[in-house]
Amino acid sequence: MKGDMACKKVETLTDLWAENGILTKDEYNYILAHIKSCGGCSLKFSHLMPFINRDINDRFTTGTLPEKDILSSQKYTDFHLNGSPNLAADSIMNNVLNAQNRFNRNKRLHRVISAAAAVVIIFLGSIFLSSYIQKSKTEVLVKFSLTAPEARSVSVVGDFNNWQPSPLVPEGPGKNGIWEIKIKLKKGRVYTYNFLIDGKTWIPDPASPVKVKDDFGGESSLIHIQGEIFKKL
Amino acid sequence: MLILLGVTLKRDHKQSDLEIVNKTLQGDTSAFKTIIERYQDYLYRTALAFLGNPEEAEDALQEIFINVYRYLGTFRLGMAFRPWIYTTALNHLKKIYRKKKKNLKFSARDNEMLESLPDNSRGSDPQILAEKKETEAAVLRAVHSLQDDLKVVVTLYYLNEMSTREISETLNLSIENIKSRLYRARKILKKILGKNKTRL
Repeated sequence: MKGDMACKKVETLTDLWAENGILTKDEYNYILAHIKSCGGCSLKFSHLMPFINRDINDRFTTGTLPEKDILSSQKYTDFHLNGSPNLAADSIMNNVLNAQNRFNRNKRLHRVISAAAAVVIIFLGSIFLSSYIQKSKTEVLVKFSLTAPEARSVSVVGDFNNWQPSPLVPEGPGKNGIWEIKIKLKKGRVYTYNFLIDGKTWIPDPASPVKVKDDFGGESSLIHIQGEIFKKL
Repeated sequence: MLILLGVTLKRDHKQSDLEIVNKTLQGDTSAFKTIIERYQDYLYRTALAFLGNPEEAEDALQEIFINVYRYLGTFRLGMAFRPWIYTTALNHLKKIYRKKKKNLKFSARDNEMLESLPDNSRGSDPQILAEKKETEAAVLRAVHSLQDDLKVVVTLYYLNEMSTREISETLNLSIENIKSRLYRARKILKKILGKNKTRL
């Protein structure tokens, strides 16, 4: 095939790719071979090749994370992106663990500060938010509930469960979208918590009027478990 | 607001992400290093496409893993891990990105810095290596220049090789919506990358 014909074919193939997001291995290889020998097309298309490479129709099974060793043994490595940070996994891991230790210390401190600062305003919050089912001398059973009809799961996470999720269950037999859980909490304490929807979306309790900023730009709710201090108010 | 798709993808790794997550949650913190090794390149590239600056991307990568580790307890075993980790990563990147955007538009310097990609192919032919780095920089610059709704989808699909189904799960968008954005993005990418005719 003459040069200009080949250039036209490459143009058509890249148009096809842009239109459909898919090319066959043979078509990809054709473009690859051509741009290696044609300066004009190389300038025009070489930077497009990593994208086209992704769209070779049977390069890998969708839904599978391509392993690096598989990638490097691929026939199509010419235009794979290989940018890798200078950070070593060990160094990232160390920083992760250090940050987690600091976070745990801060959480403990935060709880003390929150308890001191929120002691007056929280009382209202506790009325709106939850109902006490059963009382003992030191603990109350608190019902957390959330309306989320499209959620597949709802958990409550807070300092009372060490930020490990406690799953809520749908309320009643009907699909009314209300999820609930009852958790024993200590009287006189202020707790910080969030709802966690489908394991990934964090929200404060919409029913709670008292919220605090968390470390990640989001908000957490506060609940004060009515204790002796309020009986005196 | 809570439109969430219930898709669990089956994976066929030697040691699956879920197994590693499970180990980490059971107290074997060193298992988490495998997650870092598995995802760091992909997430770095994602951060770079969003932020346009290698130093910021490295910082963001570190912070993303800190968040992933911290919130790992909220991940529900039985769900797909990859959409979850990308949701966490994107939330963090969006936060930084918004702040950055508020301050000022990306500077020319940021774009230059995209060129300074790390060299991880020691021993390769210097010329091939240089071409490779140039291509990678051009690709990241192009993705970086896309409008935000296209950028996120292109980053996940082309730079992270996620499937449209996984992206749909990560972004809570329909597969049709993602396909339509990819279509628009391909047209734009072809246009802007085809303009690289300046060198001879």
